[in-house]
Amino acid sequence: MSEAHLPTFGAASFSTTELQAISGKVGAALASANAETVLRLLPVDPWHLHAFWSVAAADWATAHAKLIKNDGRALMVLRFFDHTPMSAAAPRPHPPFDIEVQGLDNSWYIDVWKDGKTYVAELGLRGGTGEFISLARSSHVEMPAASASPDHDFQSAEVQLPPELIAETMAPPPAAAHFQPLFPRRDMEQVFPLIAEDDSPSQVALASEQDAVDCLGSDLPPLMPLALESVISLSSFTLGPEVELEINAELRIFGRARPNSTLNLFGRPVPLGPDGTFSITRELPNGALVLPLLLTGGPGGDR
Amino acid sequence: MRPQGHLSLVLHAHLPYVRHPEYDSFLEENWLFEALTETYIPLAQMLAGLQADTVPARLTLSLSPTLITMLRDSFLQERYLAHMDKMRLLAECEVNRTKGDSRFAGLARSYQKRLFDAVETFDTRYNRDMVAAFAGFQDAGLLEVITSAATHGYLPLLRTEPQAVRAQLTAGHQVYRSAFGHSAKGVWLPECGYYRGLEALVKDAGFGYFFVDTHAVAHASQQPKYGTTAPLVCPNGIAAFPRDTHSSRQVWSREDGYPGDVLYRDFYRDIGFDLDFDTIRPFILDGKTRIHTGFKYYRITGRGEVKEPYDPNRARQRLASHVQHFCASRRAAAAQAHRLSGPEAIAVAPYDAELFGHWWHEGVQWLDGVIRTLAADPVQVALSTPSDYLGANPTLQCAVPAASSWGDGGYNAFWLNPSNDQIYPRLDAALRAMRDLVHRHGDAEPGSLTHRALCQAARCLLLAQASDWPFIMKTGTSPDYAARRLHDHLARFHHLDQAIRAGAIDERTLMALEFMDNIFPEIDPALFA
Repeated sequence: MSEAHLPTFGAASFSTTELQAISGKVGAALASANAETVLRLLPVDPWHLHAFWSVAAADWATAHAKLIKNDGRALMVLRFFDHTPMSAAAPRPHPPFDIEVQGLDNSWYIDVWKDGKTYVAELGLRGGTGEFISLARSSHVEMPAASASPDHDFQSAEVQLPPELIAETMAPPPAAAHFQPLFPRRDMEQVFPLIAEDDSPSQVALASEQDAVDCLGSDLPPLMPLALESVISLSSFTLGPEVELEINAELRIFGRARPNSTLNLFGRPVPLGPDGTFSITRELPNGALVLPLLLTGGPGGDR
Repeated sequence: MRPQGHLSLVLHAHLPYVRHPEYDSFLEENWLFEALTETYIPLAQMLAGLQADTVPARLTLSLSPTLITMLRDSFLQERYLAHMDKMRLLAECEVNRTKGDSRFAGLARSYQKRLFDAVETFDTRYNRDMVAAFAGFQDAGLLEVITSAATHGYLPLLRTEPQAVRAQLTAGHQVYRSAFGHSAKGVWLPECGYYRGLEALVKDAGFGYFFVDTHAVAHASQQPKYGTTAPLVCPNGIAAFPRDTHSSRQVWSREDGYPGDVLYRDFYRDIGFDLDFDTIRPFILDGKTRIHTGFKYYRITGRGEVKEPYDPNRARQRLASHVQHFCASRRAAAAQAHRLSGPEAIAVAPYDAELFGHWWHEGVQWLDGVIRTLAADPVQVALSTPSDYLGANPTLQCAVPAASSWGDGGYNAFWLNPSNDQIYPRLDAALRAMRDLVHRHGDAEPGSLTHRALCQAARCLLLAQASDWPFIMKTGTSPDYAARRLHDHLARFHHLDQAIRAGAIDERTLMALEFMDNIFPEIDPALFA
């Protein structure tokens, strides 16, 4: 897009140069200094946890000062507590365990023993005498279950949809009768049509009815599968109960006549399938096009 | 009549928000253009064919909110048509270049026709609005369209701030309602990522069902009486549909899956990389960077580097046998799972929509064949959407699914590992800042600069949360782009955060940000409170 084609937005318009300049300027913004101490736990899989934390400088200074007052030695640790809900069948929870870590802004991967457990952790300083000064506490995190539940209780319940969906009733699957059957169902051969040698769109622009006749040629194609992926219906007509006809942008003429009747287009016979279906595909000529279609042999006489 | 079983084919269509008006052209916008030409438009053409043939198809299509927004964006629609003009010019060159070469000439012409048809379908038939096209198929009863989280955020790793999950689900549903005029019946949880308790937020956001991977039901709070052949109803009344392993493997598996058949077209051999540079230069990005053009002439052939010419007719024959194999397998599975009482058996087969047509060239035709074949005998296997199934089977086993995803390993490891774990502390800090911003400035007058800046900050945050960034960092496909996007969205957020706090919002800058990230026009910053 050149400068002459400026994207507009409301009353304003921007050149790509200006957008890049603003994007570059704004892209240099950094996060504000952290003022909050946090510890987060995320389960990686049933046996691994990921912890990340950020310690505010003021909190660190306060905790460190408390330890200095004692013996001055301290390790930063993550202390994990097994908070798995108790049940009669469940084994006793593990006692808390510590993982030594470093850094005021850092992350760690932790192995756990068993799937399906619930953990909560604290980040803190552990002094030489075992005292623990907490800096932050995580939320509970439930590790995924990696095996089938031992619980065989079976309870059933009704699906209860949100109120807004109850108003919009679930639509039943459409029955075939919902559609007006016009075309036969295609078999596999038709679903996957062969790529013909002349499969490319013709570059010939037709100008007259005679050109159209020439283009169609004397050997009208046999009943060909429709390239339905490109069908574009412009209009459709019903010529009484015997013939239904649709005209498409690429002059794809297809439809159905009563079996055993005879159909002529541009004075030439159109091959009908055993069930009366027919299909011809050619490029749409420029300008108005008259289709001299003649049906004979139907109960309504020639038309 | 009670069918032997149901099959729910679910296509999940998603792309990250790759709209870059700040550049004349941008490589990642091609992701959208390729998916349009090779997947979304062919899917619409397939549905039109099914409709014309009165096939009673029932397919579920999940359109992510980012994709819905891009498909409706006039700026990207214009760019797509400009891209297609270039591709059609390339097609003419290819037809001329391959003339006389019996191995490639027919294929070049078929590509030319495909491009011609795609533009006609996109521009003429659907007036450039593919979302409206899919809405039409939904109204006609062929399709159930659902949606996903706002920017496809991986919810199990956003839960450190629960309002982030709420915002993802609510803003996503807002986009769907705005596009379709009604609520979505279900939601595609990004990457099928689920954790216990998420069902409450899913229901709060107005959805009635979601999908989980197989082991979420196999390892649920109570043993599933019907295995994975029936959904569970969560204690809050919404349904969880498990993925069917077998139907997934037949399509997904790198070793056993259909798309890897040696007769099918190879994805990677493309003239964008094969032709000499001067020949292909006018059709690649900025005349500098080689890209996939879609003109691919070779078949998979085997594991080696040497590839043989692609023969569409041989591929077609193989495709027909794969259709029959899949349908026979589903019928056999349905017969085995059939039961006379309790909920009817269902197999849910979810796939990435872009697999069909884009990655697997013959995929849309395969899908068409499967639907036609199965629809011919609905007593054996009924094609059903999840809501069809729930309508007929409202009583289900009540249990809570297990935490899970459909990613490698089945849990969160693909989105949380040393290649991408630096994302989460940054997102968490931004979320806390957003919460604080809303508490301090949430009462700003709607339409005021402060309120607009708050809304834009919320958009930046949602865009930064996309699961695509950790995914790309892990796969290593374009990690620099993912890192850049994450950085840019967070930087924009921090800029706005600081401007709001300082009371120094520059309107021109804000307008530019609103223009560049123009998603979620109805965003409510209070979602983050």
